[in-house]
Amino acid sequence: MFSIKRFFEQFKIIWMQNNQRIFLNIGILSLLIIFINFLIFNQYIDKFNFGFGGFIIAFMTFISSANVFSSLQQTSSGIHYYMTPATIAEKYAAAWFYSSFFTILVYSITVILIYIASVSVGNLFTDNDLNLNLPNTEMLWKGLLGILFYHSFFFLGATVFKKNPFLKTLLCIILFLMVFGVITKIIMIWFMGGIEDMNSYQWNLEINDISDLEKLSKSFDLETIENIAKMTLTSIPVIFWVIAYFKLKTRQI
Amino acid sequence: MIELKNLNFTYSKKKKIFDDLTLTIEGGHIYGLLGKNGAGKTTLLKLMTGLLFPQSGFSTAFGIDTKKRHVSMLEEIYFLPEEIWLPDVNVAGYLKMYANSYPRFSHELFKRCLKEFEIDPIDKFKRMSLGQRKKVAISFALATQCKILIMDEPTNGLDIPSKGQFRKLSAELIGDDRCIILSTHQVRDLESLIDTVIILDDSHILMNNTIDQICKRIVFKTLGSLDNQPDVIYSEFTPRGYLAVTPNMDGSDSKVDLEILFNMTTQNANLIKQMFNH
Repeated sequence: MFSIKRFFEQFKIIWMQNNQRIFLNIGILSLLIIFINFLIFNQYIDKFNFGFGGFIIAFMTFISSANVFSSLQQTSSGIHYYMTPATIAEKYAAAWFYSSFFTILVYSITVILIYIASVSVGNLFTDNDLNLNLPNTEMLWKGLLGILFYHSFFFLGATVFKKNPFLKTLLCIILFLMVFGVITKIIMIWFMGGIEDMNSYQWNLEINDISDLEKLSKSFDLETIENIAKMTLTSIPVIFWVIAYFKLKTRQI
Repeated sequence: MIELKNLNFTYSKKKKIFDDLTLTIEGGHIYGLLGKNGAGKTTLLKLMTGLLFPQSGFSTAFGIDTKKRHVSMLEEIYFLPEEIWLPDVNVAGYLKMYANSYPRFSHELFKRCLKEFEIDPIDKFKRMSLGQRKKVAISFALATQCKILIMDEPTNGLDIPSKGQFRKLSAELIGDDRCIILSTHQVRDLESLIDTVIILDDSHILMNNTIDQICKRIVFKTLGSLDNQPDVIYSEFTPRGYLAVTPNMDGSDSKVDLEILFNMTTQNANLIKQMFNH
């Protein structure tokens, strides 16, 4: 039976193991963001907010998920981890929640607070009238889904790779994107009947030729392809999280 | 409490670590698990606790398949490995992290153990020596009051007075519903604590007997010479004379020398099997 009490105990353990590092990261990131912000203050403050800020949130989430099972990197800490009384589901859920929503929330708050501080200080000491240009709900939702998509890669990497899980997972992602790109191209060629045709469609699409777009939609079902792509992109993280669970469950120390 | 049945385990196809191994661990005993380097002592402990899975056969603790790593099993088994791991916190932080996970954890017993081992609970583990960290880990293990306490080389890294304190605290803990399994090469450190000896050799268990059973069958004595001593089944020369083992024909009482027992068992496996298992 899944116990909420044991889940929180597991979460507490992860938090206590990592809180010093998180506070240090927040300190370093704050200085870095403020430095970059002031350096390019007048021109790029609006660009910074959810370009660079979003990148930082995503990057820290990926680091956190790649290292959330760092206990498994050594035999002695691995023994400690597996012998602690809690089910694998509780340990997994605590690690998943910590490395995804909790980390996203912590670094989002950090970035927003730094941004607010930067804008306030900017307005106080310069003639500029800078606004808090926060992203809309759609942007936030897309950003969250994007981070969760790649989170699944790093989370699985944390259960698979004993050493340097972040770098190794990053390499796997690059490989995956390359393979995914090739497969997409092959599918496109298959649907359109040839590389030459595809290139012409692409070229025509770029110049917004309505008649070509109509031709394109007749030759293959755009909606179907979109649905397939959506399903693939949704199922990949779910599949990876499930595999990570079974890797954790069947791992021997 | 723990039952291993027809268990087979191997890390590679070339060499079997355990071949059809059967072993029962019962409450009320302090087991000494002895074996040469690479005999599979730590592997056996990991199989008992579900850290490793057997290729065939069963390993159960309290009737639960250890592979399942069930919470009710984990709450009653504490495994202290040879190389201990402690997070980067102090004693209070460690308690906050892990004590709640053990239903019978005794803060009083933990404090008492730390006091006996002269550990300052304010210090961070990072600043402690290996021996001090081991003392904290042992104190925590004892304070969990788990029914099965498994320790791999617990006295490694402990200073001389601490070894005595460890024996004292461990002996206090034992009861009919509890057992301690100590895997060790330091037999002299734990000789007075162990009441059942398990000797592993060549993927089999050569001996699994209580000290009483051993004393009933063999006698440990010191002899000036081996001349006219036809009964001697094993001997080792020392400056004090020969440490010898003979069959116990007349119900003599002697103190078991675990080192001699181990050497005798591994060198005369067939004879020992005949004497103890049949």
